[in-house]
Amino acid sequence: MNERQIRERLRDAIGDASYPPSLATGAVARLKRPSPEGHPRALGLIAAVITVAVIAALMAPRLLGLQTTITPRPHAAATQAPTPSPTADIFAWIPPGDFDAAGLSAATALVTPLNLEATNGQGKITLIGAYADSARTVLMFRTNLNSRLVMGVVSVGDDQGGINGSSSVGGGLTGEYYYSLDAGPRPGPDGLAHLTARIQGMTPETFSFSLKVQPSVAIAAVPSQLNIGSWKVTIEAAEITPSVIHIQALIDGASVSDTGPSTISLVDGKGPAPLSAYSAAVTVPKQQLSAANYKSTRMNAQWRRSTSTSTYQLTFTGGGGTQTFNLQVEAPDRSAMLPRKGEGLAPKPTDFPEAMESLNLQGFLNTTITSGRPNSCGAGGGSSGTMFAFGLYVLVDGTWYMLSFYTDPSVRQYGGPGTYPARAQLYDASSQRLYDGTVQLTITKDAHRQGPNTGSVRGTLDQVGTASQAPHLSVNGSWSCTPGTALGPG
Amino acid sequence: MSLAHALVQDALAGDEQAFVLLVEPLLPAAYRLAVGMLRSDSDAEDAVQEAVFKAWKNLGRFRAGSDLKPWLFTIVANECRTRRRNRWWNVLKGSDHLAGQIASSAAFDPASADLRQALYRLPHDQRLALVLRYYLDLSFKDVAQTLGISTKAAKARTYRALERLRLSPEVLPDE
Repeated sequence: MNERQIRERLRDAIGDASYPPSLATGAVARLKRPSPEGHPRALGLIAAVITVAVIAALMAPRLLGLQTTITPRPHAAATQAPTPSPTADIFAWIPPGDFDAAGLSAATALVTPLNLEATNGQGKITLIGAYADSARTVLMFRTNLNSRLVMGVVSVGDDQGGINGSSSVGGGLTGEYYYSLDAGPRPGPDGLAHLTARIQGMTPETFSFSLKVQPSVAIAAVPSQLNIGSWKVTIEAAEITPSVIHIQALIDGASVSDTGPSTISLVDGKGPAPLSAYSAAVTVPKQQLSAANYKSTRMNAQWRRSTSTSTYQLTFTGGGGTQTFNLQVEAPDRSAMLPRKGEGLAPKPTDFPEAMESLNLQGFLNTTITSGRPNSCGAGGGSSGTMFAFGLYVLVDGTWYMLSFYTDPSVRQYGGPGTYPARAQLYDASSQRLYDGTVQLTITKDAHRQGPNTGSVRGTLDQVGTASQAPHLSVNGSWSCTPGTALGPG
Repeated sequence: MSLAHALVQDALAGDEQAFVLLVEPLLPAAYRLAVGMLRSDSDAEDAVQEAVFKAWKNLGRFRAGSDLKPWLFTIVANECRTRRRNRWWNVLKGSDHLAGQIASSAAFDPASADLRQALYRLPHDQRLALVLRYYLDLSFKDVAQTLGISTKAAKARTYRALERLRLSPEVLPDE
């Protein structure tokens, strides 16, 4: 195949890119918006911190075998007096979606709830929970600063100094974020890791708290030394923690550019498991790199642990060779997972608070709804962009239905109150989708987390399948909902 | 002193308008790069806007006298990688339907769809090399500059990526 043919094939595959006329004005407008945290060099600092962290983490000795089984102390050693944390139902404090986002679905019981606050002139950030095992340290935050950049300047340390590792930031519910460091903390003499999380620009600038470092199980199937083609590989860590499957390897014979995420793969019956963390770095400081040592690379790979027993093939590829090991990873200890409300089923409508509505339904249902139980309320981000969602359970003639509306970011990104084309769906009590259509969703008030959101909706939904006799369902009226931790976002 | 050089000097001195004048001609290609790296046009638009913002904030690191285009493209590519890594979690029940809508709205050709899937499964650096070379039509020298590697390494990376896509290339041209 020649270059022209390759070019044509790839262009057909990617598709055309129609340059959006709004891009230039949008980019200029973006320049006008200040960094929310108010530090012009914050982005550079983030990059610097992460770069240093990646290199240093891979230089740091691993601390396998130092885990203890001492009972956790949820609120030990806070630098500020914490307000009471919820203990009876952690999901009322940290919504299930936050655990899912942070890759802690299999370890919900091992997350320590916290309630430590810091402020700056623009808002507040609360450390709501934390988790640590030998492979990672995860902090969960809630903030009204509306910026992931705040999390970009987090630095985490323990009694022995900074914990260095590559890091990532992700979002859970609106205004909620997790910060994940791909390295575990070092426990102190009391068996607990005494951690500090520093966020520049906040007051106080440092949160202090103690955590149990959750123990891991070594993967016996992977030998400590192996040859892969011309590479000599020393396995420094092959372990299963409550949250991830973790491999750290020192590869002699490979430069960093010889390696990549494809060097190591974990495949189950459904295909390759996605890496949740990957980094590779030279084993000496860059200033000391020479022809004699540049072909030595330390690689760190992590995959989120499944909630069920899984069989995998772990494959190392490179140096002109390949080696595969069969692994069986047992389901996480059930005691590590707290039961969720209605787990495995749709949440019960009565789990959600009641709200006043004024929605007129005609067609399949003929009624005026004066109250409902909203189960989603507010704006949120997805890979496709920003959207607003409103959903509620309604009781009609003794039967529960769920009505769901969300703006479609592929049509129009949500950017605040206004009228948007929105997808509308009606589900029955068994989560069977009965009606589907496009409506006009007006958001009159978007109060974020501070208060009720209000608006109206108008449109017609079409029948899905053969679940009902009537061909249409029209919806018309006003709605309200109050965002809360128990509700899903947009 | 050329106009471009003068604009760079002004931008480095903090003149935002000069920076906009420098960057604006590069936006179509930057957007094309982001579309090639991400699956969504809206994501691509966001990525370019954020990359321009980051470029402005980090302009102090730009070496006057060097080419702004590969520097900006590197930032765009990094922004695309960040967006792919840090997918925001989305609880919305209908998100799958939404993804289906987006998928179904694109012209569907099975061979292209397979290749598109394979392309998005490539490691970031390999996908980037292909997008720069074949979607943006850059020379290997420019690809190398953007990737921060040698021209020879850029060619090798491109070749490896094509092999993974089973688009066995003839010998790639020297440039």
